[in-house]
Amino acid sequence: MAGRVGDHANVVGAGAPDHGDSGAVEAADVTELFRAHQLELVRLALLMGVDLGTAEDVVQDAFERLHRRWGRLRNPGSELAYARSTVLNGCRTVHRRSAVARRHAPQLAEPAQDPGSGGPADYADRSEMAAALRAIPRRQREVLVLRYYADLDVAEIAQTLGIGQAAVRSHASRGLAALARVLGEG
Amino acid sequence: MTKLEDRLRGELRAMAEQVQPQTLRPLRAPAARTGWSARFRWAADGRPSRKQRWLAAAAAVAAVAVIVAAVNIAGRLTQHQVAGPVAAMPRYYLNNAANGTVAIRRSATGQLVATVAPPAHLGYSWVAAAADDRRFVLAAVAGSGRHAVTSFYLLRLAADGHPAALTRLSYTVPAGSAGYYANSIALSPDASWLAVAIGPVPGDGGGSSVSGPSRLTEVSMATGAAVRSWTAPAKVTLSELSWVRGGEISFNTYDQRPLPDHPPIQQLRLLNTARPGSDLLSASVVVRFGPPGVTYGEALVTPDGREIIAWTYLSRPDPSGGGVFDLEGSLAEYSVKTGQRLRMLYGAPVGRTLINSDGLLTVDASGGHLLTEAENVYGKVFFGRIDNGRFTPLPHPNLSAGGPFPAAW
Repeated sequence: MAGRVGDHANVVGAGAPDHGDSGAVEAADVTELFRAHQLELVRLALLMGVDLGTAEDVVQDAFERLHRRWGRLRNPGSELAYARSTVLNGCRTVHRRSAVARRHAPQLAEPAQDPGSGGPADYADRSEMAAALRAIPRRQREVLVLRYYADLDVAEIAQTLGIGQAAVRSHASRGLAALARVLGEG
Repeated sequence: MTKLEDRLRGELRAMAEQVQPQTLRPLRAPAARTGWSARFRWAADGRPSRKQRWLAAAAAVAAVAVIVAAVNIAGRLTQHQVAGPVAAMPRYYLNNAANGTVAIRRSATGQLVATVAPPAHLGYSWVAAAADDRRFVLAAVAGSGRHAVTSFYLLRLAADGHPAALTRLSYTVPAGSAGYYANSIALSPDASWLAVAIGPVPGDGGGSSVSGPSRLTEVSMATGAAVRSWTAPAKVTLSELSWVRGGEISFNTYDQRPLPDHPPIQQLRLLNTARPGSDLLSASVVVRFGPPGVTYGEALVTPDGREIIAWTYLSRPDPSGGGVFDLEGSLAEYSVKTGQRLRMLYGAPVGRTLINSDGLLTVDASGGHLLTEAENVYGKVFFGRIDNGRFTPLPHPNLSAGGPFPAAW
């Protein structure tokens, strides 16, 4: 399951928490959250179809947003869902901008890279399953990734995406059907 | 679990695990906001902060130099006067149709009036409108690779909405080695000036592969010549241009420069075209709005320069106490002066059947009528207009191809 804590995780410039200052304690909580889940969140963004550099940027942005809003979150225990939600929103923004650009200048697109040229982004980008995921509607992709990669249940997915549980089930069902069609497994 | 589900689970894990902990870039602790990004912050009691009072004094000293520079281009200011606000909805709107054509439709019903086919070997990409319901600019792309060229056409409609004339401008945007293209255009309300946002094409995976600076260019419709250009640093993309009274241009930036105190950020900005200087970020000001931490999709400043219209997203706990986050998506109007929300145009807490917009937002000259794409909770995309708190679906034949799709009125 995604989300294993990596020993590598570190935050540059975070400093040591001052337990006599509530603001610093909150910042340390955010830092600890992202320290523990940075890898999972970057992988989540990668599976949403952005490249590795952009995935890291999106997670950094989510970290900064949570850092600013930490004191306003009223539901303890939902911080990770909020972080995932922010990462997904960031990926949507990236895709929207790419779609605008590529839709209006498809003939300017760079030629496809040779398969097997190496790197995690290349693998994620070139596999048949990755291509199939890109071909289905974004919301269905999000639900499938949260369910089959992040192992979230319906309620957790609904919480992360801000939609109803019935909608989650619908997206999951339709997403699998769409994948099957694209992959020729229908 | 089915075979497909097993395969999906295994392949997602394999894709994800290509990223290993030791290759990750360390997270950077947030830095305090400084410099230009703090200029429009107000003290909690609503009075200008000490920093802003200092800035005001400094601005007064610098005013003389600004006036001297402005004299040289003051004559152009009168050319940017916005036509009187149009209270009624525009009669026609244009949007991309199939096969690179543009459709002219009645705004009230979406009824097709006519289509405009591009010249041979071209496909229309962007549309922009003046305030008179008669004049539009269409951007079109021809060629491929570094030899592709974006050109621009002035379309005039007759009173019945049918095309009367299509005139090519002399101004073009060659792709070149960096792959430049127009990613937003806006026609001034009096149809005297065309603003064009130009940038390199990003890759499928996002913006990190973007290279080369973006620029915003002002083109004279009378001569077809580029009059001024402002340049933004590489990895700063421009979008959603819109003219504002007094010769200002509203636009969005997405800044992905890898600087310690600049994580990827999206901003709404205003450019005064009468001010000297060619650096776009220095020549424009950030327009802040909404509560801290608000995420927004598209945003623009209304033609009268007083309000901001934006799709915004706020996370909030389920008011029923269930502890579930609700991502509230709504279209709202905010004050340019204070950043405070003035009114809801569409969305929560009532009448919320559309949750967000991944598409483009187009406002008419009055600022009271909007064209937009929006998505419902099931992921179905709609195109339509928003006015009087209601969303009216309108035809858009290209929705199945995946948005966003520009429209203009």
